[in-house]
Amino acid sequence: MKNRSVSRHVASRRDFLKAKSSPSIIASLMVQARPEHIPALTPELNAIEGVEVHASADTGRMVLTIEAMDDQHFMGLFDAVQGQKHVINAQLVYHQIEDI
Amino acid sequence: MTKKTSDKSLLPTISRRDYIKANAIAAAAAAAGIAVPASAANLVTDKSKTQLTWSKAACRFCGTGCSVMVGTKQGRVVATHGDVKSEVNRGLNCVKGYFLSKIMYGKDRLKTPLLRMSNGKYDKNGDFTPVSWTQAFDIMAEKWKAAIKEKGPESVGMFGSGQWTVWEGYAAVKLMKAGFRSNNIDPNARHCMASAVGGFMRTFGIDEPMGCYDDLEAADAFVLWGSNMAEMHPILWTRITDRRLSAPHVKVAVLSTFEHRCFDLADNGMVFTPQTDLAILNFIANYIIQNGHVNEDFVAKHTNFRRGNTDIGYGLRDEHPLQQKAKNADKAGGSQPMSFEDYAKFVSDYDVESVSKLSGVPEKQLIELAKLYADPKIKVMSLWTMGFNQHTRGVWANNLVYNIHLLTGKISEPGNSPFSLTGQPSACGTAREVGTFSHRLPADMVVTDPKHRAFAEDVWKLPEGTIPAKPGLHAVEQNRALKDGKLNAYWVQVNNNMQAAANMMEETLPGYRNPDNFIVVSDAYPTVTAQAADLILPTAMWVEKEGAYGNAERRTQFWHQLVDAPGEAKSDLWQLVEFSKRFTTEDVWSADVLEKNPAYKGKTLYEVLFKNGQVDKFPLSEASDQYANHENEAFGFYIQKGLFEEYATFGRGHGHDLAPFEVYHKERGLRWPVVDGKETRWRFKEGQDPYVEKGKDFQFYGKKDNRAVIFALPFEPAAESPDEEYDLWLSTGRVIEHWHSGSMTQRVPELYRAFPNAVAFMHPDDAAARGLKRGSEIRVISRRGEIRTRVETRGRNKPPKGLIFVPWFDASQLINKVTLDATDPISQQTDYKKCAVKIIEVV
Repeated sequence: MKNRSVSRHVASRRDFLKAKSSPSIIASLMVQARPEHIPALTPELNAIEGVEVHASADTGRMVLTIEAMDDQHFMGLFDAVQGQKHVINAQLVYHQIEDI
Repeated sequence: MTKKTSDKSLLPTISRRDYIKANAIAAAAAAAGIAVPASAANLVTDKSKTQLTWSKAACRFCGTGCSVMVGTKQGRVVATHGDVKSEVNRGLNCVKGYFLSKIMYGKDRLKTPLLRMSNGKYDKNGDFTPVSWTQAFDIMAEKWKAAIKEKGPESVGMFGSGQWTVWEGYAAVKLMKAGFRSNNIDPNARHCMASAVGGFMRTFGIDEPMGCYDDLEAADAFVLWGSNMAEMHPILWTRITDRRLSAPHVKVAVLSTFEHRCFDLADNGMVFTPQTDLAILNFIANYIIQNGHVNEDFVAKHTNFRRGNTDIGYGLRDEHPLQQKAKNADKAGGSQPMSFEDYAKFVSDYDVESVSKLSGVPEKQLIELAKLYADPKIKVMSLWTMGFNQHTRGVWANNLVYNIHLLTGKISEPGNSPFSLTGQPSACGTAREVGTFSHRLPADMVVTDPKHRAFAEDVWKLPEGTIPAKPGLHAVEQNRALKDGKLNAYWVQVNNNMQAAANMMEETLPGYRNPDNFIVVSDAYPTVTAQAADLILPTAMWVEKEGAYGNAERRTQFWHQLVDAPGEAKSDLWQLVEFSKRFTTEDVWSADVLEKNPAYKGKTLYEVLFKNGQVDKFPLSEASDQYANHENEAFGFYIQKGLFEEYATFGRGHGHDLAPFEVYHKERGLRWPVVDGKETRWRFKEGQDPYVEKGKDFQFYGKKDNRAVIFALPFEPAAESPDEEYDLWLSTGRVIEHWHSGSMTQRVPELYRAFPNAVAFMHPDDAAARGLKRGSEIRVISRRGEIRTRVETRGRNKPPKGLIFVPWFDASQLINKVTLDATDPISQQTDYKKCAVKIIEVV
């Protein structure tokens, strides 16, 4: 499945972060959806600025990252993922907050 | 099949930021069981690159008991990730885990004791003023001694928590029950798990689930009875989702009084009228009997039938009309034996037509639900939390769900599992197993049993008759006794009861501000409760101390102190033990006890309770040299180990065996009973549980006759139902972002803004009928009080017509001004899910 312009999103965020030189958050998530929904769901999730889908499997599991400027931004993105139609669950795996 | 997308950041030359990202991806892929390139997979453990020190800890938030890896750097927690070695969460962590690295660093963290003072002296109406620990304990000891001298030990009390670590709860029980000789100690688990405990004790004679989380992968059907797992136990919900998606025959049934996120996965989602769960449970029993699906062999060998007392009241004050009217208010827990035939006749009233009418659930859906239990080929797991427990018939609801598992023999086997989920991280490990309830002692013992008291006095090396026989005040009674001036010196630790207790304006606040009383609150933050106190003690939290929690599947987990607490903040353990030095036995024990036992004269409670040759047995050299341990430095011995090992003697050999202390620092937890180094996954089943005798197949050894009890208990109405004036049901509960009362999660300002204020979730038709729109400002009014809030007609919680749902986390909208303090008369747990309100628009 094709991934829409992921690197462009990341680059713009990175530039933005560099410009603000603010502390940043990188988090990874495991998302569950019915396997038949994954092909349509992937580009929708990738379209959320700051969210990237990295892998998925026919077990209904998807691996995502969220890159955010601050906690509010992170929670907004997390809610956007969780609230996306056909997302059953979104769980956090790893997160780090630091000057990155 | 694995699909991967290309990612520039996984290329060999990577920046630090890319490196962290690759790390995050690798961790998530590992947790999801999806392959990633080796370059990413190898990164996680490379300490030199991350510059973090990683240690395990049990999550601070809920009763699931996830293990997290905590990354520290220069004395601060800066990262966390789900622990891949944990059998519970397998590398995942729900969004609450996001708060873990932040909860210790709120701007308003308390760093020094604060006493209400005027002109340099304690004054109940004074302002909070920083004082030293010495000054704090001086005034506390003075007030405690005065209360005990004037009115006796029943005038002092303590309110603790299912968030106490195991040894903190144990030290508190000892200090209260043996030191001050007062049973007035209760945990906030009373609001949360008391009905579950009552259900276990009544049906099985021993507390806590027989099964474990392994059931989640073995069951063919899941039934949620009053539990919003998707938001409250997300990691377990992930496991149910996996099971449902990977095995097409698996069915999920969800029952609730309003629609929530679990309905997304439900094959059979049912919204029922509040309180009618009792009738639905009896209907299922009736369906099983009518259709010939009783497991007769199991029932004959392993169960008894009893008819429970009915018309038991609502645990309100004695003078309340509902109490006066109730026939068996004083014999709420009573029951008489009955035959299977009589039981079958009893439940035969609960036919599908009448129960469908009463509950509002269509007949077809009720039958579908009943089949999951009745069909002998379907392994079924029932799950519940506050929907059952916060219920004026909560113990009954627990008993009734066990009935349907016992009638069919669907219990104590992989996948056949009635499972009581837990709200707090150590409601099981501390509140229940240690026995921090007003009637309990460790390992399911009770103060009312002379043999149990003698056993405890023997373990504690105390004179006969030290522990009082009369149960102390439970949570709701404590608030009433404070208001009535009977309880005068009161200590609250690790909870926010001012906000959490029902009917706060009539019962809670007046007690805290009663001039006869001195109220101490230990907390990390200035909660509503702390602000209502006279003395605030700043508290070290979570990984600022060595700790142990026990989760819902009987799993005990340990962690080390990983960072230092800020300022003068000290752990609850240090506070309890240090305070015990302020009392001699003469201060608190009666003269006749000391006359008979002169060896105890002139000793401090610290010497009697903690420097007793057992708790102080283990030298500092036995503690890890890689981690700090503030309490060890303060007392000069390995106090956590001493307390744990003394505590463990209560349960070893009595069905509650815990492993040796050191084992838990290595393992990702073990499920008790741990016998010969082996944990127990399914209790009461031969071959799984070492306490079951050979040839018994099943043995419910909590009861003397080895039989579990099937109870005949009817539907009885709620304490308050909507009427013409108060025309809506009010149900309260949580949203995931604000666990507990928000005292930790609301410290993160951005997160607070993510779900800033509580709202009243309501049906759009109910809103329209009152001329309200989404966002309209309203007053939610009951007979007891009111709050202002806003209407929400969309969002994740969708009530049916006639019911509103208001979360209780918001300190600026205290919904417990509105709720009713009706309790289950058997468990004394409050029903936060049902009262009657009306709504008026603010114009």
